[in-house]
Amino acid sequence: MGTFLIFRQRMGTFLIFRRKIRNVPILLVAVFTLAPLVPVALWSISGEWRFPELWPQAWSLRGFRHLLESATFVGALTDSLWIAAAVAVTSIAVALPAGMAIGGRHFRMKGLVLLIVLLPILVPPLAATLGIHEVFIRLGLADTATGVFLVHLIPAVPYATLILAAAFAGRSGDAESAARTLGAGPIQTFVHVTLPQAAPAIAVAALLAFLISWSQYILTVVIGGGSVITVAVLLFSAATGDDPVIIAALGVVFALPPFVALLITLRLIAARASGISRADTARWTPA
Amino acid sequence: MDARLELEGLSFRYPGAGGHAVVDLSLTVGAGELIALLGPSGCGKTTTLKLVCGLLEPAAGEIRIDGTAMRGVPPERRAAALVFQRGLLFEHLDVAGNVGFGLHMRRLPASVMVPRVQEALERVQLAGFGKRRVRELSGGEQQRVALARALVTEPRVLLLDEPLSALDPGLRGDMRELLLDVQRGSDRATVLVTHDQHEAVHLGDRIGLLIGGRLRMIDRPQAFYERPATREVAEFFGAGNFIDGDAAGGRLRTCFGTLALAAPAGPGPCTVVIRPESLRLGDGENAFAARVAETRYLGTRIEYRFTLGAQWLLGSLPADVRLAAGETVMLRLPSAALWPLE
Repeated sequence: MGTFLIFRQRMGTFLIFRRKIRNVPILLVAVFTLAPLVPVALWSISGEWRFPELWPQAWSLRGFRHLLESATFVGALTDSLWIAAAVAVTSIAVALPAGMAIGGRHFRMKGLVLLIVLLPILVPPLAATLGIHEVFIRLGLADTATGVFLVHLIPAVPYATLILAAAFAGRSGDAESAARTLGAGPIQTFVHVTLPQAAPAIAVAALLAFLISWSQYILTVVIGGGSVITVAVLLFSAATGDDPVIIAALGVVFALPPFVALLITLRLIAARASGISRADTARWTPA
Repeated sequence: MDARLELEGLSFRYPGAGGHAVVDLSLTVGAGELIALLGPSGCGKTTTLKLVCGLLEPAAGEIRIDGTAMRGVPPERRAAALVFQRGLLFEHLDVAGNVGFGLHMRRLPASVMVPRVQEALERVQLAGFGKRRVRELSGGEQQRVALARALVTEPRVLLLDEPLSALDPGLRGDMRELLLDVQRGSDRATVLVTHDQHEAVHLGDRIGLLIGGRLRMIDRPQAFYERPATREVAEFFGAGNFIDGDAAGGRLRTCFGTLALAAPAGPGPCTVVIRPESLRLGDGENAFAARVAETRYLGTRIEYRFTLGAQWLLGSLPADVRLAAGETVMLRLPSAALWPLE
């Protein structure tokens, strides 16, 4: 018994050690990703920071205060969030059925369908957008937030479709078959089996679509024509400005959603790895 | 025994595939009966199950459950539950969530659901496992949860697709006993698909042998050993010895002598089959001098290859009989063990 306990302890240390080794690459990626952001974050909250000093001499929230007091910025932030959220939702609405069909079913000319789905990212979206611009002018969609939202779908939908197609390609569909023979109709099966099992992939695809829209600059400028201002547009034009504190504050705001998205995605992947129990099973769980 | 499940002239072909997956399959399963569909992989066993539960529609033929034709009836309204080879539990639900799934889909209130889920878990000896996550279960436990999940819906027809093949040999015995226990006293029709002869013999009230999508023989397990219908069936059940000859008047003239037959045969060319373990040593009816050509020690039994002139015979004798290669012995072929093939 004693030997067994010692063995358990040794195994324990060994496992922790192994986990640490596995974390090294993740740590490196994190350092290289976050390191460039550190000066930006510092600048955004510095009051005074002269050249040779390694550390700001004074701190201040001047940059953020300036942003919040600026109607342009608040408008740009609201527009960016709304457009990106709408792009995320619409991309999933389009990509979910497409991904289920491409990943989960066999049909004729699948290669051709896949090519058509991927065409918008194979051809530079800008090329298509220049043509679309003319159509949008005729339809009255140019220079509108709706137009910008629509044009952001061009790069967002293919990526979302790819992620979901990959997720559905990894499933046999047997879980759905089992659900059917247990008395679940097609819609019930979709809601209670397919959706929960695909939820992590759907979340990842939605986050990616959100980020694609959030970081879009050229398409926004072409279709928005300067009257639709998003945070990305604001950042590009501010980058030539001369107040580093305001630029840095803007940079922090711009980098925030991807950072949050990354954290959420990591959590989802971790939850998937350890298995998730959903609250609604508690309803018929015997105590 | 009422006919619970009837298959009549069932045919199915996968789109794009060359041959038929299932050809003209007719089969009746009674209430409380367990039929084991036995066959090599790719013989159409699983396809048959999917046809019965409605995941596939037959190209021809009819499926009736309790006398009601099932054509066009979707899987969820057939009361035919399918248990897959690997259990296939819903990983986003806990054990109780999995077992209660079918009841939840029928929108039963929790007051009905909870006791039935608990009862089903007790039935498969997993009482108290309700809160466990699926990933924490062993393969055997997962398979039992899958069984409970099917049983709780009270199906008229229970379809089991190789429920033991993914389990360790030790767990297989337990699961076999559980399946027999669950079947005892029930009035549902059960169709179990397997490629394992012993499993089929152990579990099946009757066995249906399916080769190449066709039902070659359906009968009680003993019949497959004692009265195989064809050479193919006999070979599948390891009959081993086939003796060709000319049959007339209850006797078979062969290359090594004349055999007395107990079963009617002929007249004309005929093949009789005898199992290796039916061969006996010693004098008497149908006894011939045979040379021991080869011996193979198998622990509890010893396998011998005998030659009777030009005829080879495989014998499986208890390990306490030791014969040496090259020895000549009197080998008896009991007439009752000789079965003429059609």
